Amino acid sequence: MDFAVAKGRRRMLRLTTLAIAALAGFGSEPALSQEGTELVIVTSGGTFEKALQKNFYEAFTAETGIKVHPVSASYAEQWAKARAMAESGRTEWDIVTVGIGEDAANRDLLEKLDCAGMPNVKTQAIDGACREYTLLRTIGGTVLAYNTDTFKEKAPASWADFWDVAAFPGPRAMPNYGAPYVSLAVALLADGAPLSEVRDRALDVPRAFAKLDKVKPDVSIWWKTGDQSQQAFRNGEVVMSMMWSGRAMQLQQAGQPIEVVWNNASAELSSWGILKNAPHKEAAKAFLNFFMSRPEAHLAFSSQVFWDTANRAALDKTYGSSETFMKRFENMITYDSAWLAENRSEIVTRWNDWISR
Amino acid sequence: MSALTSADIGQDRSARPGTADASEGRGRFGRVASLLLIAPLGLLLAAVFFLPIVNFLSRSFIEPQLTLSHYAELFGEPLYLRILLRTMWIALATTALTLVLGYPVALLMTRINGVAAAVVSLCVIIPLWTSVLVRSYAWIVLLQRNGLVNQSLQHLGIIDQPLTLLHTDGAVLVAMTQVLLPFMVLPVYATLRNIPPELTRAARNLGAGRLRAFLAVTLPLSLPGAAAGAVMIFVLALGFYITPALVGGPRTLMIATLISQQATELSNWPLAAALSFVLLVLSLGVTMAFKRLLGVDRMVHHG
Repeated sequence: MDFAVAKGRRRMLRLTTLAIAALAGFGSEPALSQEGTELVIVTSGGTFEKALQKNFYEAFTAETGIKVHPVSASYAEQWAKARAMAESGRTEWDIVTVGIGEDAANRDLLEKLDCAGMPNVKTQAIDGACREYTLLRTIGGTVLAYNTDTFKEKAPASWADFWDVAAFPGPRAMPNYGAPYVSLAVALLADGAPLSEVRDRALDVPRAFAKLDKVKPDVSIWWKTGDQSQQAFRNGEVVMSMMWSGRAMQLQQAGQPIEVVWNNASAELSSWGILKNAPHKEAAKAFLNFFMSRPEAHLAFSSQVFWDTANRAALDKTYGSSETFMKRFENMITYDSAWLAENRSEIVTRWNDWISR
Repeated sequence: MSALTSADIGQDRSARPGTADASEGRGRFGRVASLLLIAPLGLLLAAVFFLPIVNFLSRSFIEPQLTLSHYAELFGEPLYLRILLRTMWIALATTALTLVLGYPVALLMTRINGVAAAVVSLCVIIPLWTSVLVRSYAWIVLLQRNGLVNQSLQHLGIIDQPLTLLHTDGAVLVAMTQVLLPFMVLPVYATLRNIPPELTRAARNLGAGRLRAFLAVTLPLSLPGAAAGAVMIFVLALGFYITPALVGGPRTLMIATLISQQATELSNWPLAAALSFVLLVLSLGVTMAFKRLLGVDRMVHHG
């Protein structure tokens, strides 16, 4: 019975896919190209993709002759499409962007990486950059950012201060974009939980929501896009914000009176992953190895997008020593991928319920 | 503006060629020819619309095996029902607003000529050519803290501190109404234009005042158009997505947002399918109810 249903469904899926492919075929790409000449890389697009193109893709093409086709898709969209491609048996992408917890949730779609087989990773990447399914690409944080004009004498320095409206009065901004676990982790720290109980651990969800209840009345902006979080600062709508470090640093460079607190920031890690059914798997592997080389490219890239990368020499240059960076990183919140994959849906539903009341 | 001669009426008829000719055009093609003409569209819709939708919706019943568990989850979790109700409330409010604002515009369009008519029609139609995204962002520019609305109010000395206009339910209603307004104006205008003006004149001739003639003749005859617009707007608003996400606050969570979240961020397609199915049934139900109540059919038959 189950089998028959599944079979019928699969046939229908195949029919649909065929129909769409037939239609799409009129005006679109040629059949999948041969291994060795092309590579399809999916990122979130925009200026970020342009910076990748300028600093990495072009150099890779120059060295290997392999043409890189950049494709842009939001994180969410990317996985839905990758899954649909895998189901229809026609995967067109090679390298995808893997966010926090997404490796565990999409393990069935990802190719295992041969870290030892990538010499540049061994010699040039920071420790732990290469994992079973992912190669660390960019590093940033969700940080506490505050208006330096508002808080001249006493500045907020921790998530507890973010919650302390008596000592640091004024409207706040917090994220509301589909990764509520970041706010949960931060709330736990604000509630006095030590980092060791939060970092890479299952989160105490009820306790976190109880703490979030306390800050909710003082949050005037719940941002959904990075641009909204910046606009809230520019407009003077908030004096303190929980936002992406890259966005805060961009404001800083534009002359806004804003300071970033890295203490216990939530790590924003994005990695490269190779799809299991990637049409150009060898080229993809070659690119990952190539990506980790050339520190000068990493430096140029970082200055353009305000994200650090996992290249050790580049971090040495930016932070004096990559150890300084690693120390800061050890003080940041990271997540238990498996726990997140297991509980993400429930957390998101609970968050939606909480935020919409 | 008093008594009419038969010559006037005759002139008026010939000035509106659309009405008389339309009925003659019917039945020009035989049954087979008609079917053949429709076939390409039918096949296209079947292949790229109905098949994928049926395939997608069926997932809510057969994944991972034959089950109703996704519906149990949907109705067991208060969030979904609450958001569904809120979505319906926002859709209903938008429909009411577009009706109140759109009807007079449609009426005006039937009463003016020349440049004025062209200007009004352009004002109604041009927004349709603009992407919903652009129109929503325009509302952000207008409504934000240092936006045009707040700045004007401050300049005029009406307020001291900027008002919180963006990220509120009000902002969502205003933006959605603006985005959907043409879908009310155009069908109402179409029905109004097809009401023979001699009917109003007859009413006036029989002693009715302007208001009474409107209420007793024009308004009832234009209801099918208003009903068509209302159904269209209500159904479109139910699935609205971009505008509420951009100009709404955290509380203006719409069901479409939840569906997309389940489908893309959480890769829970069966639950997304179940939510879509409930939304589809609701939309169909409302369309049927409207049809029954207001007789949308009539509009079609009257051309």
